Amino acid sequence: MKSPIRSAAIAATTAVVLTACSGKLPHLPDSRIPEPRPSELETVLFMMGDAGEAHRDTDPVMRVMQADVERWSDLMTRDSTIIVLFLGDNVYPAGLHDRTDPLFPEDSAKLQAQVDVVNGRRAREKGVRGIFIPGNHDWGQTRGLVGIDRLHNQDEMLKRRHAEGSPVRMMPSPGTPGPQTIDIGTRLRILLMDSAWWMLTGKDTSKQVVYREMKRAVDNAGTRDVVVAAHHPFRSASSHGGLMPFWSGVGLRYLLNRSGAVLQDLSSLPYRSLTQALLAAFAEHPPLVFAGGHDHNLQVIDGRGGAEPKYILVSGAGSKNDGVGYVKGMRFRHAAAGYMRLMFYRDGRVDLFVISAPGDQTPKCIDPDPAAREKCMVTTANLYSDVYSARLK
Amino acid sequence: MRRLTTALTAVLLLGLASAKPHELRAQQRNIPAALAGGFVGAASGGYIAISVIVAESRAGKYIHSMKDALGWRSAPVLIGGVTGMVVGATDPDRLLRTVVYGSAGTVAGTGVGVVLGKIIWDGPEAKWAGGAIGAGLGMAIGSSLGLFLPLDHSDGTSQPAANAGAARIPITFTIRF
Repeated sequence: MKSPIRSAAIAATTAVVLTACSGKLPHLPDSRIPEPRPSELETVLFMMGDAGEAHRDTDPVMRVMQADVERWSDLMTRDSTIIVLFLGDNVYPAGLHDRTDPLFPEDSAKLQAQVDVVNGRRAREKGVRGIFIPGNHDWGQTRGLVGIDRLHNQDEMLKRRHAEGSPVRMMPSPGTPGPQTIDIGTRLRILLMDSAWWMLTGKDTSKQVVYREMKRAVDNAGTRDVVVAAHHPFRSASSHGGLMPFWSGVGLRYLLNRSGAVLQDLSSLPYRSLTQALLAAFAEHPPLVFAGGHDHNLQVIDGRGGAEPKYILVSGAGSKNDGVGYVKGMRFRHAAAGYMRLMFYRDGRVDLFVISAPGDQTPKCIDPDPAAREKCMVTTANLYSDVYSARLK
Repeated sequence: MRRLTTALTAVLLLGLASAKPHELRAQQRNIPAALAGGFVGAASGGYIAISVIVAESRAGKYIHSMKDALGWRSAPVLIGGVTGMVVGATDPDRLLRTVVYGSAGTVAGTGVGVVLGKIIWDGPEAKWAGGAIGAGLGMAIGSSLGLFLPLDHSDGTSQPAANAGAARIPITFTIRF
């Protein structure tokens, strides 16, 4: 009974936060564009973060995303044109424990729910690739060998699933920072980075290497659009970005954030060193998109120009739900379960679609009766839709 | 939270049970002061805990989330709550003075901390970190002075300074790691 109580508490807290905030937040203009014709597309990139609390039988968002991946696999005429990125925190609360640990069954069920998203018949036939980026919770929130062991556990499970035919793998490799480069077609370069490595364990000399590799990878991308994907977002208008009411936690959480005392907040020194290093690496060729999760909602933010990525996406609403505020340049915000889909055209255009549940919630179906639960799953899944779409390029 | 509540209740009951009959009557009259003292003490302890956490982060030891702020780091909340409750029950005047001195210390500490933080560290969080550390330090010093300095009661039954330290202040707390 812990999960429903926790979910209810999270939902109630979020409702209170959003109610309190909603009167002060500026209105953001709606944006909808038509769905592209599959024949015009070169690559489709799905992005979902922080799904490590979701289960296949209780979280409709996983079913919705799987159906969407299947649909686009069916529509795309060529193979290997669809990538699904899981943007970290793939297993809450502390990564995948050893097989001998009592927590392993629960941990592995959470990871399996994400594997299943790319495990449909059409997805397998069309060579869809599911890539799991590590997040701080996948490291078990710990530095050093314990964290790397948790990553190895996750990597080994994904390798076993891969051997069984599921198109999944962890990137970058466990305990390594990246960036790892994936070039798809002629238009897209994806750079995958383990930002949790930077926060938790990276030495200064190693960070210099990461900076140089990132700079090299964006500088020699040529005409390709660059998407940098990591768990930690470049900017965020939610709790990790310091956007929280002062009275949240009797002011204590607010003070800790402003003082930079919480490692996982953008205000901490290690996090700030990460964004500064990335800015330096992007100085000559800013990427089109920087995609992250970490904060549990959906955000689309314009970069501030200069070396900043042109668009900053936060897609961390796989299984949890936090309130979201406002930062300058914000185009869209939504505090409900969902994911994003980037569509890359053959002629260079790029569209973004945000798929989510209505309202401000992360609906879960937790009825103990399987029939009632299934009915809830079907009903709730039907509520999901494109809540925002825009042409990025 | 349940542990904290249990501990606070146990200490209060212990303090009341150990009192002599005339002290008990006085303490019963002071229950609102005890409750207020417990609340103010716990809140003050919270801010002292924050200053400890922020000071640690400046040394490179961070917390990952609010959950990490629990454990031994939350000891000031417990100590502050229990102390405030007991002082409120036994000597409301002392409680009032402790709150006044603690508040003054917080204000002074915040000001000094903000200035020093901006001088010592770089970045937008420097002044906040300095202010948070200064506030906790100022609150701890001010509250301690208010609590332990001899108090001259104005109703003519003031205790001699030498006996002030003989007041019974039962303090018990449990820290789980």
